[in-house]
Amino acid sequence: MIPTRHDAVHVDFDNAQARLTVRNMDVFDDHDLANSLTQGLGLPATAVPPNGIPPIFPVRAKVSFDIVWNGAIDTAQITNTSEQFKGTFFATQTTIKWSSEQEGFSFKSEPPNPARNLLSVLGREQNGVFFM
Amino acid sequence: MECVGPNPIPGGVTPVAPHGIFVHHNPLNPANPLASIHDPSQITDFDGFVGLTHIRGGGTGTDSTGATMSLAYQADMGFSKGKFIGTDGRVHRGTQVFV
Repeated sequence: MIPTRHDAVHVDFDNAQARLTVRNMDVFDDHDLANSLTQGLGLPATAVPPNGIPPIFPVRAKVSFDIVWNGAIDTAQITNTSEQFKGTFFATQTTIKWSSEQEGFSFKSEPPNPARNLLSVLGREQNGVFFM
Repeated sequence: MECVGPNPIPGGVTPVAPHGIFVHHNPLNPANPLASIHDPSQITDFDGFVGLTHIRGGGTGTDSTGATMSLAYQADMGFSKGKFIGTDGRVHRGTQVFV
């Protein structure tokens, strides 16, 4: 988790809406998930697939993104005692627009398209010590 | 912005098995109903709003020569905004993003 400005997120929970807007956040482009988790050390080959992943040195990058959770498709009231969390959750229509820049490469996503959403959730929850 | 960070949820997944690297994050699975989701927050001792997305799409990459290429992306991103117990044991308010 990366701490950010409070005003980067606006929530209108009654209408199942929220918006996360970040501009020019400094991140490392680690190329792939495995190198992200190992900080560029890759993964050794094992007898069991997946095979090893070569190390790739992370490069500095800036990312910008605008994610909009926009209205409920489904609603659930959840109390999960084994995971110690509870709350009200919406499955929502959601779109994302994002871009990245680093030396020698940039990326811009297509225009926001609700049809690209696989599953998105907006919730008001309590967990850990706040799970009573 | 907070100087003291939150603690991670105890649960999560091991996405690059069998290497055993644990991530305190529960990716959304479109095959599961909303009522069966795991905790969508990445932080524990938390009281607030949480958002999580699982989106795939396309876009355009541009290299240093100006050449462009069509690329696909997958985003698993979200936020937590609210009150949490920090690593110092005290109550804080803050906003974190999951990128």
